[in-house]
Amino acid sequence: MRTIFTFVLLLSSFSVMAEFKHLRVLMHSDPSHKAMVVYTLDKKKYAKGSELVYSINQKMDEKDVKINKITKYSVKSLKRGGKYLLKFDLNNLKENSTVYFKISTPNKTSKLYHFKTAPKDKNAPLALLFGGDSRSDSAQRRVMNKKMKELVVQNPEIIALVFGGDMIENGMKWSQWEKWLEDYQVTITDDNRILPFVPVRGNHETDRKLFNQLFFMDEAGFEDVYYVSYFSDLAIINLNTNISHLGKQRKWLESTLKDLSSKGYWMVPNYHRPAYPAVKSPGKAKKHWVPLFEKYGVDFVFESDGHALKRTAPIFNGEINHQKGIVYLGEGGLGVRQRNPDRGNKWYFQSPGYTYSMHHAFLLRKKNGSIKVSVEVPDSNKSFDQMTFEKRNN
Amino acid sequence: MQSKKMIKSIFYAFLFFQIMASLINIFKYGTDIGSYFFLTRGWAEDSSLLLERVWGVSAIAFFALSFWKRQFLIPISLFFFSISFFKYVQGGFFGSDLVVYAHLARIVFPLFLVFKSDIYKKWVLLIGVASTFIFHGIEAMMGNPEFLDLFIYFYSVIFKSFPSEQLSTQIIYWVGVSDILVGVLALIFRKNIFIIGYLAFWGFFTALLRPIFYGQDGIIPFFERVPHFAAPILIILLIKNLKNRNHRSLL
Ligand SMILES: [Fe+2]
Repeated sequence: MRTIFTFVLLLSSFSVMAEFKHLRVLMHSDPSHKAMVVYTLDKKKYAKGSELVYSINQKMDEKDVKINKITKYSVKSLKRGGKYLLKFDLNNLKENSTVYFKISTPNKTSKLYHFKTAPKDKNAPLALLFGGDSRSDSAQRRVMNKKMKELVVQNPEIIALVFGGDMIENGMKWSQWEKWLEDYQVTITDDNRILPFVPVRGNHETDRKLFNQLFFMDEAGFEDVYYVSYFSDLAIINLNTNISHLGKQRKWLESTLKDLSSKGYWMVPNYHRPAYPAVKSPGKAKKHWVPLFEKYGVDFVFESDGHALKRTAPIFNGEINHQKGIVYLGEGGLGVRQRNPDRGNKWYFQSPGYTYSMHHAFLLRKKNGSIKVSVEVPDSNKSFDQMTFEKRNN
Repeated sequence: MQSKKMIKSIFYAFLFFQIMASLINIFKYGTDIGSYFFLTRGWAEDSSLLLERVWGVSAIAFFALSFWKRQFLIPISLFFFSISFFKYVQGGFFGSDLVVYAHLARIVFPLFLVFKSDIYKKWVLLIGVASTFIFHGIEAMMGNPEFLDLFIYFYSVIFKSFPSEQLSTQIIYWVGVSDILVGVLALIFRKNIFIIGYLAFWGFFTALLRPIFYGQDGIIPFFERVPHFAAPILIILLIKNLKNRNHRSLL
């Protein structure tokens, strides 16, 4: 009798403390104050009565904690797969703080999760993860997600993963998205810290509408998926290599770079198709964007798409230039078979540049007026490479 | 006799450049054939690269053999088909669903000399070029960003200022409509030198935009597009031949 009773008790406690499918936190332009908490629903009716409670810098069971409640949520039906997305908008968050949150519906409650918002103070330490291309190797994707989880534990100042595109192979297949979203749960730490996600579109995210739905690009105001993410005085300039490089996007890029450089921001463009590729032919960014990067002196660039690890020598005006040159880092190693980048022996990989066939993520750490970028690889606690960028005097 | 030899040599010269462009592409960057076997089928990278390289070198061998027996032009067509087909399979770019139809001029171009009859020769090129025009037209109407950027850049070079994206999208839309129109017209008015001549001009001009704008990076893309103007040129020569020699076959 007692066993049955314990079993029933255990069962009921499980149903109360339930998982919320594909739980994730999205950040776009203002990671200091805004975040979206999103999860997937099988049926629209399951949304009823959902609410989110959160507290800042204090866990909810602590004394005198201020608990904020959000009962307003939005639900949308996904274009493919017959599922729904539920989103809570967390606006007016406090910069540089830990947000503890819990979601509940009338019959279930989530664990207490947390994530961090970006600092505003440019002297505050800050870290980000960068990576792209996780499109066709779920096992390796999970290995890399586990690696990123470990990096978050070791570097608690990490705010988010800035992604470089090509999450899945066929952007029109919900089954692939579903698997990707499941695999991303591996990044959640054992103490329930979530790694927020900053999205960029790759060439395999072929279904524009579905991509925008999944990452709430329209709601964030960036339906064309080019925008700046401000991490204190570091501006990540996310660009979209799937659309015109010369139209509205170029105009926006030029005025953005002009504005950011006059205000003394660190400027780091992040986009999918590379200007200085390790493997394939150069994308249009080389012709249409690189001259702007050079004119306004961006600090370094993140690219994806090639499925290889690369670091270029500093490049300026099509030549190696150690004073004015820009380093291009990349290009996609979060869960796709890595290519042998040796073909072609391109000039821009001469020392200190290199290319390797190796899964990887980049860890960016900003501290005391300089940025350290390290290359993090699975199965090793040591960084594969490390480089330091000093602020340019534009 | 003179024009027969001339047409044959023009064809072979164009075909040689077309094959070489693909071959260089294979060795320099790799194609979606290798990507498919490496990424989707899980082959070792070396094996998948070897496969596409052997296939590329075979195309050159078939080219040489075709001087002996013209049926060897068929596997060359298959070679170009495979490149486009695996592009479709791998996907991940604008209009990837239509790529085989949009590339039909490249795919069928080697078949030109396979046929004995001038009528068949003309038809095979005509269908290829018309399909390429019609499907590029559809892509343009759908707003292919590649075309948009070529137009915006072209405009900026001529007028020293950038046109608005909205205007460019509209213009590219109508360029697409005209591409479809001339593609269809070419199939109807098969003997009209002006229509076929326009195909040759437009095919050449749009191919030439690549090296003009992208410099060295645009050279291979230009030669890959050789059939876009070579096929209409051969059609014109055939039309003249049909007129002059009263349907006597070239071969
Ligand atoms: Fe890609």
